[in-house]
Amino acid sequence: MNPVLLLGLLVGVQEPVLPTFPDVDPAVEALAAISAKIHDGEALHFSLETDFSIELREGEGLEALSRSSVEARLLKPMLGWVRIQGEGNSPGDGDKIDVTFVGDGKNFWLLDHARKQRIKTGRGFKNLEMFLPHFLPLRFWLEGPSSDEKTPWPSGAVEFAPPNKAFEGLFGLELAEDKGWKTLWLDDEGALKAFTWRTDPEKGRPIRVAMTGLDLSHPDEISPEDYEVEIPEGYQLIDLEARKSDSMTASLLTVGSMVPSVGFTDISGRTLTMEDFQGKTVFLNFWFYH
Amino acid sequence: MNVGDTAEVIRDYWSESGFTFPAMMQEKGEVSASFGVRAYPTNYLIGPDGKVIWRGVGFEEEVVRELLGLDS
Repeated sequence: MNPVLLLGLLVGVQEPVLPTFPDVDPAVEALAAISAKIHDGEALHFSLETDFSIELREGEGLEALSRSSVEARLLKPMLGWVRIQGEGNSPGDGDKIDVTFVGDGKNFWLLDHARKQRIKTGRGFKNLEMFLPHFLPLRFWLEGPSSDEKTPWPSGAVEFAPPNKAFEGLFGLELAEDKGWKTLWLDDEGALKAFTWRTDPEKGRPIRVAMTGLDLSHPDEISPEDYEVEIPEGYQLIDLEARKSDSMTASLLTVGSMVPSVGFTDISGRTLTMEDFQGKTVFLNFWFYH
Repeated sequence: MNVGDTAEVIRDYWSESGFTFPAMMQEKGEVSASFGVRAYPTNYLIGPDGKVIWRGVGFEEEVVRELLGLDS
C-alpha cells in the first residue's frame, strides 16, 4: 500500500466528515416535492373530470354516484374562480350542479347558475371540499396559507400505496388521517391524476371515493382575463354571513324584556339568582374558558 | 357566566387573571338556554329593574366601554 495514501486516510479518521443520512421517508419526500411544485407556481390551473363512486361495503365494488367536471383558474390563494358542472345519478331527484365559486381576495361568492343566485359565503372556498381533493397544496390555493400548510407530513403518515389496476402506470401516495386514507395517484412526472379516499372499516362505514382525470398545471403566461368572472345580471344576492349573525341573535331576549328567574352557582359554590342583583346594573357576559 | 368547566379550573383562571367581577358557572348551558344564547361570547346589559337594556353577540371593546360609561 502506498504510505502517502495511508497517511491521508489517518488524517481523515482524525477529522471525520460523516455522511448525513436524512431521516426522510421516500414517500414523504415525494409528497413534499408535489407540494412545492404546486406552491411555487405563480398561478394554478386545474381541471378534472370526476366520477364520484362509492363503495358501501368491503368487496362489493364501486357504485357510480355522480359525474362532474371542474375547471379552476386560481391566480393567488383565494383569488380566482372554480367552475363546477355535473349531475348525480340518483333517479328522480335531478340533482344537477352548475355553480362557480369566485374569490376576489376578500369575499367569496357562490354563483348558483340554476337558481340565479349569488351567495356570499364568507372566507374560504371550504364548500369546495365536497368536490375536490382537499389535500394540502390545493388548500393553500383555495383558502390561503394557514399554519397547517407549513406542517410537513410526518413519517408514517404517508406511504406508497400498493399498485392498483384502475390507475395503471400511476403511483399512489397514501395519506393516513384519523378518519381514513386519502391516496393521490401521480404519474412519473409527479402530476396528480386521480384521487381516492377510503375510511377505516374498523372505525366506520367503508367508503371509497374515486376521482379521476385530474390535471393540475401552472401556466407559462398569465393573462388577467383568465381570472375574471362576470356576475350575470339579475342574480339574487344572498348573504350567508349576515344570515348567520341573525340566527345567533334571533333567540336572544329582546331589549326591554325581563330577565328570566334562573339560578346559577358562582365559583365559590354559592347559588344566586338574577333577583339577587335587583337594584344594580348588571353586565352579564356569557363565555367559554378553554 | 362560564359554560361547562369545573369550579377548580375556573377559580385558578380567575385568580391568575386578577378579575374582580364574579364568575358563575353552568354545567350544561341551562342559563344560556334561558337567555337564548347560542354563540359565545354573548353579552347582556341589565338594568336595576331587571330589564334588558342591551344585548350583543361577539365582543367589541369600544361598544362595551361606551355602554358602561367608561369613556366619559
